[in-house]
Amino acid sequence: MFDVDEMIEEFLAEAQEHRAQIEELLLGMEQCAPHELSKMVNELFRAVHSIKGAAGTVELDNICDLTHAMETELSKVREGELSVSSELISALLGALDVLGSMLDHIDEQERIDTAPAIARLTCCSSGQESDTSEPQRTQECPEPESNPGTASSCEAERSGSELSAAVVETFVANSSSEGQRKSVNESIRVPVWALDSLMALAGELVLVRNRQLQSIDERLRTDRNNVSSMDRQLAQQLDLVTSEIQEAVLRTRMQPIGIAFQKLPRLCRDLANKLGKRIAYKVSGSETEVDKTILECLSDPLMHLVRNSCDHGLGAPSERSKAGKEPTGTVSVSAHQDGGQIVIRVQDDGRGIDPQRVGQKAVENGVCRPEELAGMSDKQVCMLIFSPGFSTASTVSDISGRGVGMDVVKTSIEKIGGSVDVFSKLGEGTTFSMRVPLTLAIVSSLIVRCGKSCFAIPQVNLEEVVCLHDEEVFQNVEFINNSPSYRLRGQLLPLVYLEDVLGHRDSIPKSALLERRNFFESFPPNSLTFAVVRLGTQSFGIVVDEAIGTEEIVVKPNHPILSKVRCFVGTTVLGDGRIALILDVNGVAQHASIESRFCEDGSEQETISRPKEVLSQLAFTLNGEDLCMFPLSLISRIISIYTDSIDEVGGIRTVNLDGDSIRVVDIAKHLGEPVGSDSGEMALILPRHIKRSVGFLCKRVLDIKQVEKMPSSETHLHPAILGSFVLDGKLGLMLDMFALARCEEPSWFESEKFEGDRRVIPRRVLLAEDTGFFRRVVGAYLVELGYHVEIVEDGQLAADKLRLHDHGFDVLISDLEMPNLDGFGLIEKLRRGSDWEHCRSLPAMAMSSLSSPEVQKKAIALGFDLYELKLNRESLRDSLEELLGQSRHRSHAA
Amino acid sequence: MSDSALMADKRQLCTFSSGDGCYAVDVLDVREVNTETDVTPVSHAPKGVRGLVNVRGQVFLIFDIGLLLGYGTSGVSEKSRLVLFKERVGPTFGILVDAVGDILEFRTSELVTRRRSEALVANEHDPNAHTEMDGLIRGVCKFEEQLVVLLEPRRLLEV
Repeated sequence: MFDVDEMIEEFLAEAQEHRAQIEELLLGMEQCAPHELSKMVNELFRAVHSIKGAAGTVELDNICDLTHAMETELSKVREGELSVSSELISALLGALDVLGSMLDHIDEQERIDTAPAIARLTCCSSGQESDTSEPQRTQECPEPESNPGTASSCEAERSGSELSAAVVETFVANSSSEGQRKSVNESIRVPVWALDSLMALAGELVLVRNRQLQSIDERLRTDRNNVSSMDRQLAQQLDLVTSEIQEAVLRTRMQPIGIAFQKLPRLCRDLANKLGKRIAYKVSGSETEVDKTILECLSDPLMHLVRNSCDHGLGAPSERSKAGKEPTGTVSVSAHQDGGQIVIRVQDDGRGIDPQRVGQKAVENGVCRPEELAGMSDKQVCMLIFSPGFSTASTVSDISGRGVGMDVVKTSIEKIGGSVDVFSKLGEGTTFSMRVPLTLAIVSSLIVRCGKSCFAIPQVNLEEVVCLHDEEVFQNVEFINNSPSYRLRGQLLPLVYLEDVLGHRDSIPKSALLERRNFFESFPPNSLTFAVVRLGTQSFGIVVDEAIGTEEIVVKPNHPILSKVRCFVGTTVLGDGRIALILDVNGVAQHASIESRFCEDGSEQETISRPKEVLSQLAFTLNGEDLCMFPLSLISRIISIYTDSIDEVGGIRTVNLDGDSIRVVDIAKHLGEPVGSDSGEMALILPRHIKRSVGFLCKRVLDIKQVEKMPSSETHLHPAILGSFVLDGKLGLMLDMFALARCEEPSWFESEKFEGDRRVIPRRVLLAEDTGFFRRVVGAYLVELGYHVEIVEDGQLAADKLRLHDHGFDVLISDLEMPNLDGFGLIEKLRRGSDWEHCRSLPAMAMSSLSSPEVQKKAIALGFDLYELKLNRESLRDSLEELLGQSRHRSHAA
Repeated sequence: MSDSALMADKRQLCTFSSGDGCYAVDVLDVREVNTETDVTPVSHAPKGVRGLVNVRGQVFLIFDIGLLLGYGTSGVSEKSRLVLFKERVGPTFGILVDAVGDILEFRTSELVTRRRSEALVANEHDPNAHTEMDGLIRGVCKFEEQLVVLLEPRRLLEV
């Protein structure tokens, strides 16, 4: 015995099928040949009747009444009392919509008002009965071929042309609906979970097979005689059958794509009426099979595209005639399989997309900037229509034009691992082409290892796998804000350690990044493997321990408990029985805040292309609130010490570190800040380039800051303060390590002065530097060292000065990033330019805030003799000595 | 008491040990007990989730019952077992236990419900675990001289 719920469910499934059939028939009736009409009316009648009958048995009276009214009208048509008019069809379609909403909300069907739909139906017949002048197309209407006199000539013509098109049009429902019915009879309804469990079992079988094959292999290796040919044959058969089962089970989930096309003809018809256009809808390839889950995701994008084609693509009949086209526009939808993908096209023969107009609108809508637009090809401009917020319609209609839709199409297709493309020719039409995978259940994936666990990265997200070895690792990985990046074919590719992503529940803390960087720099790894994955238009790299290989994996959805875990889209069982989690590239990117890094990296790239400098500074606090900073490039390491471990002998404070005695410089003391008297944990910053064993004591190390704006050039109270600026609402002081060291122990720098004084004729230095702050600091320092300094603001000015044969400079110090002519261009001229032949051997030093080995290499390759980091006094002094010593040699030799 | 009432009253329990305690779940909820202990951890999973395990092609979510009861993460030994629950209890999940014990029979009327037994099971290791897993413990019953804590696996999925 069925209970009522079960019966209703049964009824619903059946009624939905009939509903789809009715819609198809109704739409077909409008365009079919008259001799087919009677057959179609009969079918229609049967379908409506079935719903009515079934609704009666499950006591759904409201549905019963409505279908009864529909049936009444149809029987009138059958009896010849009523002709098939477009009003009648519209009324029937309207009634069908009401029926549909009742079926969709079966619990509330009693509350839906059917009266207006019924009234409209009855109105049709009563109105028509009086109006006998209208040409009749009833069941009794003789076929036009045998009796052309009864049908108007226009109709005969129409049916003729329609017949030829019948092959491709689904409207001509006879063949297709019969085919459908046949398939209904031969199929049974199976719940999806049954298929899913069958799928799981098939997967299980694959594992058993894999183990069996492994064991046979094992035995073959160890003892050949132990394996009979029978064993081997059985294993082979098992192998074969298993593969076939897996395939067959996968096929059970496949459904014809036509299901997603079902709503489209109706959409075209409604839109044509509404917009006053004439639209023919054509379809092909609707039998192409695609996975159920994909199918469900296709319906809305298709509607959007067809709506777009009808509204924007096709012109009004008059406009079309003017352009020399048929007044009836065509929207055709097609599908075919291409390898492991399905290609779906929505094509119209309308106006086509005007790249100029799209570009103009894109700028108006704020989708892109005019300067960006200038560099785009027509094709790229066309693709702008998929941008969020884009709309070409000058007025917003209820059909389209709100600027939502096309971007939704793109995102929903991309969500299922597909892509959208558009081809358009102005005046000839537009084709949208979507590529989606055949199935989501089995995806080809890269299996990677991180720690002990394996993870799968779906191939659709994957661009390439990069493995660096030995020095490649160190040379090509740069750190920006402590986040590693790799320069892949000129593009900065942000890298994310999968281990970091997995190890931190929320976002990756800055301390972890710093730790990662320090570890990376102190123990450069022998190799570095990362998968380059796509994220929209950007890419980033996921660093893993090992890339194992690709495998076709069966995707299992995440357990509901894990639904909030955004880094994984699902699980899979690998060939060896281990479990691998499937990475969600978007989730990983979100977790690692990749989006913000694209921006940072963008600005970093700007600093390379534009003369703008970024200094990485280590921020720390003394006892007060103020931030203090040292250039990061000058720091070797930071250790935490306790104040009671500092020894004080005769006012000199030292600390013992790994056997070395380190002089402790209390920064607060020298700056005249209150000295912290309390004992406790402090931080000692050890510099990289100062030869003395010295450490700078501060209260707490905070963070690494990227300082873009150089400090203002006001004079400061203390020689150790290079400059000040406001950062995150706080005052920041940029400190001079060397000045501080001199405050601590002036004697260290005495030799320096002596050398300076010894020079009878001061050496002349040309300093090319665009940043005021550096001009001031470096300039002052050079003067302090006893050099005569001339400063210019960019490379061009430096080149002009050096063009003179008697420029009189002994050495050139040049910044690399400068406006007009950068350091690279400058040295290029000096070493190779025809006007500067006298400068070929002029000693030249590059000075930059970039510590990238690549930049350094490039600078040296172009002809700089040395490369120095900015604000590194000691090193600058020594290098200058060295350079000038060499040049002295050189001039002696010459 | 009538026979049918007696029948309804009678229950079988699958007992197991975790940490220092003896626990049980209704045997009718149990799908199987499995020796597989190779649990793949899942990063960022909610607290108490030990990881995922492959049982003949099906992926089960495994809870760490020791952690949830406040004993700390259960170690894995030769005696460790997975107790997997039936689909009607919840979607493919189970618990990792230190060892499984006998099937015991008891009457539901003998069950001392939590409210009365609060003092008995109140967890001295981690009082938070107690409130967090409110409802995980259905009650306590006595077998000979041993106390067995009856757990409600459905509650695990409500974390």
